[in-house]
Amino acid sequence: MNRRRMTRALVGLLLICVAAPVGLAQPPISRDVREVQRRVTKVYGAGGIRGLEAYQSGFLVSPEGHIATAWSYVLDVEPIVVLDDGRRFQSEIVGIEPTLGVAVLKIDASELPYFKLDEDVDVRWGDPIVAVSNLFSIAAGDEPASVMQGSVAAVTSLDARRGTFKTPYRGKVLVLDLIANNPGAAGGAVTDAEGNLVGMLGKELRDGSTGVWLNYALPIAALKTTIGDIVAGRTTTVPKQEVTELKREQAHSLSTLGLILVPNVLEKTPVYVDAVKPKSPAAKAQLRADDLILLVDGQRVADQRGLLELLRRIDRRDAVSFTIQRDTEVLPVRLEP
Amino acid sequence: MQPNSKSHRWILALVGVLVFGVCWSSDRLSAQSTSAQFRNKMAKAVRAAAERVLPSIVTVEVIGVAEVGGENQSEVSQDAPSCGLVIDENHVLAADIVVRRPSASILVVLPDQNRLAATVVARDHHRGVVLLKVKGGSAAAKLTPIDLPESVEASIGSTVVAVGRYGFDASPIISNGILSATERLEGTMLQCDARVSPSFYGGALVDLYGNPIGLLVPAVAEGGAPDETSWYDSGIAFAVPTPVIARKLERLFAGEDIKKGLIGIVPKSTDPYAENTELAAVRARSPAEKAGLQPGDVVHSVADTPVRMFGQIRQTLGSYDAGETISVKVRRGDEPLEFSIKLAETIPPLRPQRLGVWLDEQTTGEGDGKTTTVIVREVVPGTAAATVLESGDEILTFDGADVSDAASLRRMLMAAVPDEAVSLRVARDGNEMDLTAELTSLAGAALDETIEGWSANVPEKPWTVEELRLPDASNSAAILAPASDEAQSDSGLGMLVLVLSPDARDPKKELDKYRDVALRSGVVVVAVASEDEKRWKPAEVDVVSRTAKTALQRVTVDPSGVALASVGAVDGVDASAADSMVIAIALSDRKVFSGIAVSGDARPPAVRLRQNEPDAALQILVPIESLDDGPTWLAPLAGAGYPIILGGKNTAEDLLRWTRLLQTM
Repeated sequence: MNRRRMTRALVGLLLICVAAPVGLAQPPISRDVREVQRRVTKVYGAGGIRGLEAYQSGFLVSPEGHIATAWSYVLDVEPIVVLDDGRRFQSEIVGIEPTLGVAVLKIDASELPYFKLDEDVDVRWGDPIVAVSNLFSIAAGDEPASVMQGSVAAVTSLDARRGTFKTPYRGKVLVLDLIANNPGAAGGAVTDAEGNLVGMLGKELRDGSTGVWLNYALPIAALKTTIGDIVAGRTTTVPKQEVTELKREQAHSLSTLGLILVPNVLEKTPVYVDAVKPKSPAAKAQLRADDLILLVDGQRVADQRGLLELLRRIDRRDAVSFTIQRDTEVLPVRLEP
Repeated sequence: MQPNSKSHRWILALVGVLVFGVCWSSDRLSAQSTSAQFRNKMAKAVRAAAERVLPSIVTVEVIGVAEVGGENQSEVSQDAPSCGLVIDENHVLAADIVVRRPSASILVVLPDQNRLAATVVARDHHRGVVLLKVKGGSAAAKLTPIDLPESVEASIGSTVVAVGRYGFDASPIISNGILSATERLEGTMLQCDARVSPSFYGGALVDLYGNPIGLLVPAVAEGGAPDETSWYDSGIAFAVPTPVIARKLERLFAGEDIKKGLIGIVPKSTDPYAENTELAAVRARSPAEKAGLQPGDVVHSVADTPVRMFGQIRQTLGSYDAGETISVKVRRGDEPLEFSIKLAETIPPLRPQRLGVWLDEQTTGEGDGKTTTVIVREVVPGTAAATVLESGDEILTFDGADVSDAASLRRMLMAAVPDEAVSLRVARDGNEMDLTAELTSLAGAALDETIEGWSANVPEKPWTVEELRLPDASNSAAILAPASDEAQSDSGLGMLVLVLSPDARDPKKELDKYRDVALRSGVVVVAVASEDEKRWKPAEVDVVSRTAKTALQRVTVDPSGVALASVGAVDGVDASAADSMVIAIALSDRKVFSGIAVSGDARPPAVRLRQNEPDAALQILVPIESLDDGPTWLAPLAGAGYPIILGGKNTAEDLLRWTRLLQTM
């Protein structure tokens, strides 16, 4: 065991020992949770057709009744908001931000408990969290929203180009170690162990790379400026557009690079080079037959169709970086136009 | 490496004193902050544990995965990235999900985004682990290995953490829970309640000290789900114990694939949890036969573990690999014997044989004095028995082994050596005599005659069609059977469960077509419609099995005479989704049906093919003239020991005659 690992192990031991005697007392999750619940609202709107629930969750972000929630089909009509104390309000949609998938509602009330958005709360993977939402619409009438505990499984940055998430939002997310993203949970509040707001539960979503359901929240750091702008009546900053497809004659293609791939006969044909045209960018980069293209500008290429889609987003005047596999070597190559 | 408990004990003691101080001073904190404090400290402990293995956890990507046709049973992408555990400077252990489909390349991605091409050194099929070798890339791309412990001491209920990497930035990802069980899945796996999603596969399960106690793999309990990844995030997660992998490393490094070890014994008891370890049969050319085990032997211990029931034998054998040698102690009569048996990777597939008898069991006496005799009720025309046996014969021995009940004789026939003459000792009119019967294979042309008594005795009163419904399923179903108030004698009725094509919505109407022929053939017919008018869904496998069980409660039929068929099993009727469904049901539920009948044009479902087993044997009827006319998927089924019955120009009457004859052997 090297010294560093030993130290870590010791730190681990120390912490466990500190935690254990406290653990024997089986403390409640937190009394602060009641305070969190008071700030969470139930949102009822459009939907109700098979497979689409007509409800979700939200939380108060101002004492005058501004409510942050997820932007979804539930808001196709002006939704009804039910507060923790059971009061029902017809709400008005103040603003939406489609890229982040958030919306702000307003009800006519005052002196409500709310989450302050100006404090910075940092969360790391492993940190304990509490998620409060009206999942499955269990809480009816004046019943408070449901509380669940868990932890942050991972904090990962999502790169816009990689398409890990099939949503317009690209940025940091909190992956949760908690089966949290159920019908109706979207828009719910995620707090740390002390009850400080750290995120908003997202809509039900599958992970683009593994295909399975995700449990995640959007970190409040990514939302607070937008929510603040909408509440203050400022127009929100236009979200940076995703790099979209260029016109065919402006973008790169197999022919601009001089690449000939193996025949595309399968549903997902691996991107093997069959030949390169003489004097082409591919030839100058010394690509050759049987090279397997793994990455284009850092993005994974699953099959030939994926490669063509990626090339359509790159200006043909620009160089393209490939990562290829040749036998057992993984090599970077740069194709200059 | 594990913390050596001895040398660290004094540190623990010291820490204990320290803790006492901390707790005392925090005594007056309010309950709410105590809770938050507890959870935050737990989080730090979990992070510290995870950080011990994280340097050795890499991402494993598969590139250019071949799409395999057929309906995908899993929602997990075929090229989902997963994890790997670095065990030396160029070897990585991963879950075999990365080799489940052929791919153009397997890449090991280091936390710094360096990608290294990897090749498969060897695969442990038994536990779902692969050993990958990376071809040393640039000097910068250095792997940080971790030692696999030789033993671990995690107790049930102790905190464990699943550790992996996730996303393009290879962020650490954890899920914590407790150790739920050990020795799961026939003694091979640790079970924990952490939420393990596919990104974690190949990652480590660690205890709170950061010791890697297991390698996370996708797995489900037998018959639990169609795909091994189906239980992701469910709180039922499995990991291969690292000490076990450590012991297998030598074989894996040598490039040796590891398979589950098979022995080849056939239980006599139909209930694996009954206190009965007598062998009904020993599989031909199996390790058990080569070592000298015989039918009638009673097993007392397996690999030095005392056993009282077959379930225990399975559990004990489950953790052994092919090539390993175990000792088996048995009692043969009064003689204790011990055998040393080298387990094999495969056992030659079953070639089920037919004697051609319809049997009856007669029990006399009570309690310990209870004896069962096996009597021939009728012989089937055109079979081995037709020339040597007579109605009323009592079968005493078969190939030298005592025949104590009909089920054991069936198992002996399933495991018998094909097309051989066997000796039979029978009692006829009070005299014992030795006979020889030339067994014939079940596979081949269907029998075209049935038992005389069956074709002669057709009841006069017509049967009725009644609705059949499960309380929790919306599938409609109906049953064509003798009216329920009629006394049902032991006339040996058969039962055929018809899986309707999705466009057939009215099971009652479908059954009307069978009224005459069912009565004539003595076969109760049950028809089940799909829930959706366009398709059969995998989840409905269970609905069909349970509908059959409900029908079995309504009428008395011989449980070994229940068949499952699609309407496509009749020659000239087109194949539909129902045919694939029939195959899927039969391969996943092995308890209810003894035979299935499907169209030769059926599309095979994407379910794992299992070997035919003597204690739950299945035969397959297809309306074709010869195997050469058959679809390509028949060959692997025949190779797995399923007898293929050639139905030729199979009519509904032929189908029902075959169904009723399933109860003969």
